[in-house]
Amino acid sequence: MNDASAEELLLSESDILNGGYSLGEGVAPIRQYLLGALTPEERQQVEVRLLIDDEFHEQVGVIEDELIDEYLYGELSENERQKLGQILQSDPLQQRKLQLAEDLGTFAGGAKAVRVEPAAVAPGKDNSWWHSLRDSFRFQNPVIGFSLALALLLLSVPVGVWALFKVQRLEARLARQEVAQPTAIGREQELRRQLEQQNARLDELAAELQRAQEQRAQLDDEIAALKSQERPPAHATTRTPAPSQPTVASVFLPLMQSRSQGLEPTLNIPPGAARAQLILDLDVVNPVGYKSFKAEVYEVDGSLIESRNNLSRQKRGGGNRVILSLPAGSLRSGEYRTVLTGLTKSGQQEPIGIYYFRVRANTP
Amino acid sequence: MEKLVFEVSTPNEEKRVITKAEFDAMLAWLNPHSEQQAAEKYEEIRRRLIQIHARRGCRQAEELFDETCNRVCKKVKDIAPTYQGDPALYFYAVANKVCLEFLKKKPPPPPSSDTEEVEQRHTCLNRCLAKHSPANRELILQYYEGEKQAKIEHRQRLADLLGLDLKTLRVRAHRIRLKLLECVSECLEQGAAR
Repeated sequence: MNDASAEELLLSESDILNGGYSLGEGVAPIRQYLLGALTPEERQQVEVRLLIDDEFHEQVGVIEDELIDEYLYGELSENERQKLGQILQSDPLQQRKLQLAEDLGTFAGGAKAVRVEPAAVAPGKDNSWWHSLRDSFRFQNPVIGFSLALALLLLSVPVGVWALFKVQRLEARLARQEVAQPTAIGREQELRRQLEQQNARLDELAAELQRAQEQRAQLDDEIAALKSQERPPAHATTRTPAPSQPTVASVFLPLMQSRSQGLEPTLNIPPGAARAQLILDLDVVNPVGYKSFKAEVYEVDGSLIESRNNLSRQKRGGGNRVILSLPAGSLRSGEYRTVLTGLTKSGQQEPIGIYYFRVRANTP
Repeated sequence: MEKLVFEVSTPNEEKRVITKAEFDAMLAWLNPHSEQQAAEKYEEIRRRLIQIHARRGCRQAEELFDETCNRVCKKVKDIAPTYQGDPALYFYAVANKVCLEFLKKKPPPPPSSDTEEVEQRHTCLNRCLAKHSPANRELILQYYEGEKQAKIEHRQRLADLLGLDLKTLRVRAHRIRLKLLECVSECLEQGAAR
């Protein structure tokens, strides 16, 4: 790690941007960098690119996560494990990454992460202890030696029987615990499932509350408009009908809401509603990474109802959302899904998620 | 290829605390048009250099960045008028020198992981997971379920369920994990401060 040549910056920004990064686009050079296995010049190429290339910076982060996981679960070669172990133990930030990975594995109830310390290489043992033991049984008088050996043999029989009995008892106890354990694990899984259902229900209730508030605001506007029409102007001899207020039915769709029977958000479309609005939550998606979004709405049988490009993100309710507005008449009662795709700055289409929802269209 | 060589101060020079004017001048160098964007760029440079230092084994990467920033701020009035290119690279060159100086000193032994500390970490992780949506919580916990081949298959099924490809799922899990790392670190520091 001590590197005198790093006193100079060997590459300029233009070198990097104009192909000065010569290590190739694969995963291998990044892994080598993270394992501290690059030359100082190669390492500098990676680090400079890390500073100025956002996508590369994230890619390195993803591969680092996976390398740490492989380290924890003993999936690295001995050489790699030694190298990475030194790096992970040498800095508090790296240690925290390792600890977080360990803790996530524990919480997930997955493989038991085994943080294997680099084993000390044991010096080659000679067999002198065996020789010593053998020599201690050499007697001048063979009768004494024979008697002693016979005594040891007779003693070993009851000891062996006792040991066998003990092992059988331990095996029986282990078998009983293995039967009990799935019950405990099953109970825990059941509780976790119930908790997930409760949380999903809470999310749905929050979305319904938001919808109700929006609908109430719309109704208040309509009432105010109707009230202003009840009192005819003094000079008018005929009543002119007031222009109708278009109503908008909205639903908030959380990202990555798994499809569960009856738990998808519901879009209630009142009679006379002109537009339906799908508010798609972006959550942890970094919206800055996308130039625009594309949303496609499908019926449950796969028929495409609506497809819209060039949607932009909007700030709503403290989060980033994509809002898709479509004619209310295009949605009948039933189940739907909206597929959201992002267009990255490099022009690639990247899937973001699927949003499931139901429609309850109240026809007059 | 033109080599860019930066002259930076050595630790034997007299150390001064940087003034607000010097710090503001550094921010202005990062972005002369927008203070907000300058601050964001500074934070991004800080975050990335700390990670780079940490990966090199430069213990106390955050403190080392503070020293790097001090030196850059002292030099900025001299270099800003003629410097061409991304200022992040200047930060990088100074950070290299600071890291080298640090590595010459003998690093202290790493802290031990005792039971109380593990308990505290788990408490913090619980709190931080609770701050995420149920979907995020479920994603990150499902992502780490299983082992070896079973884990790989489980992740593919998870990606299919969410309508994502595996690459996007990996990135999504990484972003959640980054947020958890920041949250848990903050939580542990607050716990240590009490």
